Amino acid sequence: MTAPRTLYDKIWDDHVVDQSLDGTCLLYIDRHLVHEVTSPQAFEGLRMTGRKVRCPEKTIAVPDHNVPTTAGRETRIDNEESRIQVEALDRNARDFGINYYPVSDIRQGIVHIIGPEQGWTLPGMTIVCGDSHTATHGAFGALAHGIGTSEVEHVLATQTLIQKKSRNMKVEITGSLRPGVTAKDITLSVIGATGTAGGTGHVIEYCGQAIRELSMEGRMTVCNMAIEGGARAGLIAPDEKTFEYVKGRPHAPKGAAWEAALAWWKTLYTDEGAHFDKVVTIRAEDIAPVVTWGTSPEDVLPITATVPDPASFAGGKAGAAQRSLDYMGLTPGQKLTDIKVDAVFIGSCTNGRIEDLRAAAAILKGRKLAPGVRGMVVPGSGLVRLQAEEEGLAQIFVDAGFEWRLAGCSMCLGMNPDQLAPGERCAATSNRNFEGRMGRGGRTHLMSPVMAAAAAITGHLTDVRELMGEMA
Amino acid sequence: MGDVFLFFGVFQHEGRRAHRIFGYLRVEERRILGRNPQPDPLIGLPWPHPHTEGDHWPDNNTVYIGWGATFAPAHEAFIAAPMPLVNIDTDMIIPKQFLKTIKRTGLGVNLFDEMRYTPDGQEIPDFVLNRPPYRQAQILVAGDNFGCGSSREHAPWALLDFGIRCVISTSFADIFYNNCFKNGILPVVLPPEAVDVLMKDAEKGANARITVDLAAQTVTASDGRVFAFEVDPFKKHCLLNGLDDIGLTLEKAAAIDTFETRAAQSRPWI
Ligand code: SF4
Repeated sequence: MTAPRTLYDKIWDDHVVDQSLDGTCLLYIDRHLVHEVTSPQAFEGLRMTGRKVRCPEKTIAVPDHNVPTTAGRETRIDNEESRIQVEALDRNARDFGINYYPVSDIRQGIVHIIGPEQGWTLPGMTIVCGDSHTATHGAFGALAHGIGTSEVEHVLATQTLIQKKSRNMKVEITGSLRPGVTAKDITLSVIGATGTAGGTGHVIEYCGQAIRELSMEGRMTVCNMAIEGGARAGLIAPDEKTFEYVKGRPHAPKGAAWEAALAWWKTLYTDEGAHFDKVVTIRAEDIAPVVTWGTSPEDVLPITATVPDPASFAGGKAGAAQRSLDYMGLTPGQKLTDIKVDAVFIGSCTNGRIEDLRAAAAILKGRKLAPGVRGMVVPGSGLVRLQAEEEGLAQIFVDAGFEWRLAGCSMCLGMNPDQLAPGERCAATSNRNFEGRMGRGGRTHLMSPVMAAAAAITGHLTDVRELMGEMA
Repeated sequence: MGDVFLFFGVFQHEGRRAHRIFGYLRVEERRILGRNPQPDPLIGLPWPHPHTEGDHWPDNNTVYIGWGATFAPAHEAFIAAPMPLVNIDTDMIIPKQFLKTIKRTGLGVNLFDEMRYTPDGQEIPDFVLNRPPYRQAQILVAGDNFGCGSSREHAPWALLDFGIRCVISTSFADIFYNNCFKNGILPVVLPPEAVDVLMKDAEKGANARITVDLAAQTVTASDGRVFAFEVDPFKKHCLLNGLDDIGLTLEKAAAIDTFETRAAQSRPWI
């Protein structure tokens, strides 16, 4: 009998190629996702050393961070540096023979959205990408995490990564979510409770009834922000919902291979009695719709709260809180619902999937953006965009006064022309509220798609439950 | 272009030119200077390369520009810059508008760009790295959770390009911590009391230098107090010897082949 193992232990054990005496492992990588910003130096490194991509068939590339989200981008990207990066990826994908979804392809989109969408992401895999939000794929019970460019080059050349095992952490969400509360509120609330370094050195397994009850889209939202909690990766054990989602996707196994895969995937769960180094339990009933007020994702409060007083923070955090409030232009004691917004951004790898657009559209239907507020919806992939158009969601956004864009990362990091102006305040469904993240001087409040939709309608941060009451 | 192994490089040290032992340099660009070259502002060298002075040097004088790894500072005391802020994230270290490069070099001028310059590009005099002693800082002493945020290796590239060789904090974000080692930067984790002592040293600028010794795994404050730190033995070995871990892994190609054969049977759908 082997000792009980966690889900993380099992996936890890399945992928160890070689182990040194000090515990450093060579870990096999099943899927390597690549985008234009963190890869050019890695491909250049291969060229300089005359090395090849070991497994081009397991390597998938897509431009997403830099690409404009306006029409005509297939033929022309105005920003020269962005264009050079996208062209470099075109060339590298061609020269090294890897799977590629160029901007002209309907399947193009944010790397963490198209991986699952195309069936590249499967349970029990190891998945890496030169991007910290690779944790998203953990929703399928895959060990997925971000790596730096040197490691990108390492994986391209060897299909392995030099790794030391992280510790196991369990985050259990018991009970069921209340109406108006979403996966985004779960993940933000966990970070609010544990801090941005709470998961450092750990891989988090999310479990509990509320997690089971989430759709695959919701689970991706939860795992996506594991990194904001400091964890290397987030995981959710696969179940029938996972298999249902994966089945029939272009790169998912078919026929006999599907049956074999399914049998394997059903062994992917944490054994009874397995050891966790850290455990956090939160009652789903205690989670309210939340927003961030500061410039760190841990600056989370229920929408019913007021802006905190920096003096109430311990240690070095008081200074950071004061700096946050100065940057955000807020005063202690101010009600969160009194904070006016100038812009609303719906999209990103956290909340740019079809379910997110459906949820936001349900709130926006028959309503309009508040005067003076600009709104932008950026679907996570070309296929999400297409589906939203077919379902009539796009029309709801357009009727409400939103811009309906092409797929990409867009304002989430403002590398393309979609940016906030200095001092502009945005209700955003993305994952980072760092200073300058969405544009220099821009102010970001993170929240769920329904909360962003509510803010769009009223022009200030709003408890979406009030608008839901009106709908009922 | 390819790897060039150099044994010496020229550095400016305490206002003097000095040769230092180098690890390796991965060449991205080559400039043929010829005999008696003029100072080249593009390279950023304020003087002609010493090997090109006088007329007995050949026509094929060449400057190689690129990135590399050198031995971590040892037995030499360096100026440390204090940044007591907690959660310094990668967007602060190198804002996204500078991620559009396809090179590893040249990011030092944009290190901490939005904290260091006004929107019209003027230096903000109060910012620590703009103040005289800290322009030469080689160590950064920072608040908790340094380097959180994205996986961008541009963050260590920018630090290195500025001249930072070592960052000291109570904790680091995982990916940033890893990325440092790949680029010859030593991230040192110390308990809060030790970081407080070193932060005070750092605040005294050139008057209180800090010594970092990777081989001995110690940091020595200006008053002689020694703090030991932990570092993964493999990472230490690679950093001390400037090793290329891709080359090391490729030596294990047979083990990777075996793994792939086995996996092709047990998990053929991969
Ligand atoms: S949407 Fe934002 S967080 Fe996600 S991959 Fe793109 S830039 Fe990163």
